[in-house]
Amino acid sequence: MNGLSVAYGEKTAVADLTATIASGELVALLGPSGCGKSTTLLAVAGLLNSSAGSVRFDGRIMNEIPTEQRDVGMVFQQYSLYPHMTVYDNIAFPLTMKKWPKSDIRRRVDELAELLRIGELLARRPDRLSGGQQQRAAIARALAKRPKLLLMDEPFSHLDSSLRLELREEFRFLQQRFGITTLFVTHDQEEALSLSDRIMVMADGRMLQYDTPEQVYHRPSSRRAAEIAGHPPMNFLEAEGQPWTLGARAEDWLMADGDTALVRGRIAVIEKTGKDTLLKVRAPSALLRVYASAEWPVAVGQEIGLQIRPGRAHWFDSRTGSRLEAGPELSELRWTGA
Amino acid sequence: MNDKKSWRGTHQAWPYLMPAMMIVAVFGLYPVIQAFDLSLHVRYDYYRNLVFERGWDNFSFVFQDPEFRLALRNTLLLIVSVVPASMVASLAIAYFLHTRRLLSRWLQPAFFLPLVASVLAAALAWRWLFHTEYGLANATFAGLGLPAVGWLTSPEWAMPSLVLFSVWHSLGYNVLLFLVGLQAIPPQYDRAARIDGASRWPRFRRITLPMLRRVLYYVSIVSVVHAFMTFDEVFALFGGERAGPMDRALTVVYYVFRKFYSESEYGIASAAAYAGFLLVFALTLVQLKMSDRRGG
Repeated sequence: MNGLSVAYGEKTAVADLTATIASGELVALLGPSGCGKSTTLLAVAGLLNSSAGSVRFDGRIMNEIPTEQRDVGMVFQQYSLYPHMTVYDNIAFPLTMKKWPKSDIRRRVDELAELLRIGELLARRPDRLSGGQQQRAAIARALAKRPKLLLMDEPFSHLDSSLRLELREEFRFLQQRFGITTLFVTHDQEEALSLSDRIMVMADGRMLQYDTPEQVYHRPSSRRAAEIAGHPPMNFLEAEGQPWTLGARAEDWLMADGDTALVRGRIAVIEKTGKDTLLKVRAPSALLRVYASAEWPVAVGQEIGLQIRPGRAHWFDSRTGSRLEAGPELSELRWTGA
Repeated sequence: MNDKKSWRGTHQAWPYLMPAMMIVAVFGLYPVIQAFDLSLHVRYDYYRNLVFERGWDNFSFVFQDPEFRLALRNTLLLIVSVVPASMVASLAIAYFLHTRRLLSRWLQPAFFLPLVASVLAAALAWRWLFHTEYGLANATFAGLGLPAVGWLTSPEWAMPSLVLFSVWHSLGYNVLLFLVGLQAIPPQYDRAARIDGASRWPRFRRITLPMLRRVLYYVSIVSVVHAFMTFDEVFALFGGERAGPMDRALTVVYYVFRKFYSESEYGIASAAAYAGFLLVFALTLVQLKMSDRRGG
């Protein structure tokens, strides 16, 4: 796939999106609900018409090509397995439509069923499957014809968390093994960061950043992009009269003494989530979320001084929100509230 | 709901069921039994409710009556022609309306007209369409270079005209049902099928049609029953004097009507009604079995 740009007219759901997905890559479309992720996916699939711009596969303009002939596979959010067909017939359906010989279809379906471990379920109807099994069957159906491009709309969001992790890993394995170019939509930043080769961060129908997970996480292109990728959300400190906003992720803080501390605050809440301890620190006109190291002596109500780890501060233009390459020297800053 | 079946539970249900049961008994069961009894009356005084002789004579008369046989043949013909024709046509129209939303907003009223127009009013319009000299049907035929046809006046065209009118008249209701059925199918399946490379016809054939199965089944049952009941269409289309030229559009219900009201042969009318009822009952049972086998 080679260059993808979709835009909509007057009432824009997705505006002026330009990106290229390299062959074999797994790309996540990340953004909050209603930001145009799914719209983008449907436009790529051809299920929605774009009002401007073009979609290209391998350089070929697809705008006029109907969905049926685009050679894409898709896993829908609600799986959308045909309820009146068995799992076997569901997986075989794309191949039947290509008029494959029966024996070839049999071989392909069996191969996929084994890979996705649904071999025993082939004779069942979808309503007799659990959510995870339905999801596997839907993935098998989408992969059956070895599509040029695989699209997935929140494929794991309806599964419980342990199953979600398991299926994610399995899917990543399959995707890499077959080298399937994949575009998937998610609102789960962790899913996007852990699974994908590249992330397209979207908000309000616009693309904010398109980069590797490392870059998206460590060098967010704007304050908005930083908010979307990463959990807990990045802490922002704004100072009156200053052209910058300072950002720091929860894990990028150190405890500091009185004279080297950037911020001083009082611990309001201590959340222990297994290996981590998350502090909510009430600082002047800000509530900071900070991961505490094991050796920090913490107690609710205690006063604490904090400093950002060297090289981990993010600077954003306080007016436009865009990333600034440098800011003032941290050690000389004393933040006392906006 | 969670209880097992028990006599105690069943008895407790009686008071709640009684009002509905009474209505069914008085207006449903009683007339059915009464009519059956009437069909067995051989010699009787209807007005004084005196019966001198009971027997199966009415049934044997009915089955030997060439008029009833004609009526039966015509009714069967209506069922096997009107039901499939109307179902195919109304499904096609409903699918068209369903897939072309914009156009359908303007066309929808036209297709529902048969539903809201009374049979009498509709038949009046069709009598004009079918008029031998001035009708649109013959004008079209003339335009195509075909000879004029006595739609409502020649015996051999009586049934074709009735079939045409009946199909048209059943469209509105069937289109409505199919449209509701089509709109109840979540659009995601059509999307999935497009992704899977299915073009329009395979999508209709392999996805839409199977998901409409229940509606298809319902419409077919209702249509069969309705075709069997054909009476008012005949009455209105041919003017109520006779069942078409030379009685050629005679139906079972028309036969019953005539025996009862014109000829005052109450026993024969009841016997004919029962014979017809058994026929439809058997047909419906066959339909039920067929849909069961397909996992309805």
